[in-house]
Amino acid sequence: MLKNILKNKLGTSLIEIMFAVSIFVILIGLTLGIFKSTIESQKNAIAAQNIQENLRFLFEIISKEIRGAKIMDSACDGFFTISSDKKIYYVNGGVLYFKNKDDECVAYYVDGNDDFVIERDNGIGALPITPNDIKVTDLDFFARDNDIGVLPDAKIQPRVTIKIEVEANNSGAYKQHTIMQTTVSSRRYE
Amino acid sequence: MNMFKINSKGFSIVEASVVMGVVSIGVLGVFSLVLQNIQVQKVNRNMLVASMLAQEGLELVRNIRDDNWIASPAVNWDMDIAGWNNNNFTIDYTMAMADVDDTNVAENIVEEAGANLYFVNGGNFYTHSAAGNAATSYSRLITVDGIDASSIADGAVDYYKVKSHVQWKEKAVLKDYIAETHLYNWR
Repeated sequence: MLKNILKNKLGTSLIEIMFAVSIFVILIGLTLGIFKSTIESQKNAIAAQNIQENLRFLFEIISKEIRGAKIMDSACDGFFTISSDKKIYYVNGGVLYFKNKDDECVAYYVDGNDDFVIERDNGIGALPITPNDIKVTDLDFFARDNDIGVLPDAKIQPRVTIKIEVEANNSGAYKQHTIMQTTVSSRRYE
Repeated sequence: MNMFKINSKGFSIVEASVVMGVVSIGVLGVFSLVLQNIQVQKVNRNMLVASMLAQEGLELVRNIRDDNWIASPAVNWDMDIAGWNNNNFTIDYTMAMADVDDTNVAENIVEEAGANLYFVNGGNFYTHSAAGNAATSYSRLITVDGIDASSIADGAVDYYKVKSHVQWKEKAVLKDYIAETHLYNWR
């Protein structure tokens, strides 16, 4: 067999090679295009999944701690120089302060100097509760609470509305911008 | 071994196109799987947002009951809720409750102008107030249903079934997220 092939003195013409190469290039080009868009969209899907997982976790732990918060009774006044008094929740400039069920004064805020992660500060130190690969572009709190001072006769049950806007950090054009909001009503009746 | 010498025929165009067809069906299958994955992610994302909005609706109604509990002078535990018994209404984080026109609320909440959720311009909270605000794709409606659970019916409401229904449109297809809770007069 080898002999037969070697005996054959005819080569392939330039036209034939050009034709074969161009068909090859077109086919490869099409395949690569599909391959590329598959990878891109996979990136997009991963970004979305990442954001969803983290948001679910975030809302879970923040709402749990907010529900159990206690009346501050001025115990947190030295904490971040806030005047808390009879309030359960205190919101100032995008930061939420309250005293949790273990009498710990805590604050939740976005740290603009550290990749826009949400941090929880308990007065001893601040620890991030969102990862670096999601960027929290906006964190807003709205607290409806009793006024500072002695508890009025017409008390109200405090509640907090949380709104978070996030996008993915490391997935190029795929930001997966998501805006989530929920409200949590205090479970402490006093 | 003489096969190569004897068989000097190439592939016919029919054979070639069958091969191309099979290959492209395979590639298209993978591709459509990826596309579907993206679609599902998007639906999931909206579902997550909707679940939080539905939960917010329930918490706001709960907040009304809790407000009544600690109010002084004392008021009925179901004040402001009883008035909406067997009815649909909207409520947002500002606590403003409003009636909606009940024509198509049964299944088509997004068509109810009053039930749509908006963003206050400048990017603030989801609210029902439309004036000058940007519409979002979500709508929310709360339904309360007072239940008399006494063994001998006494006509008094023992608990309220509160339903928070969030609806949005996903490429012209309606999607729903419904959360329900029961509010009793005991803590």
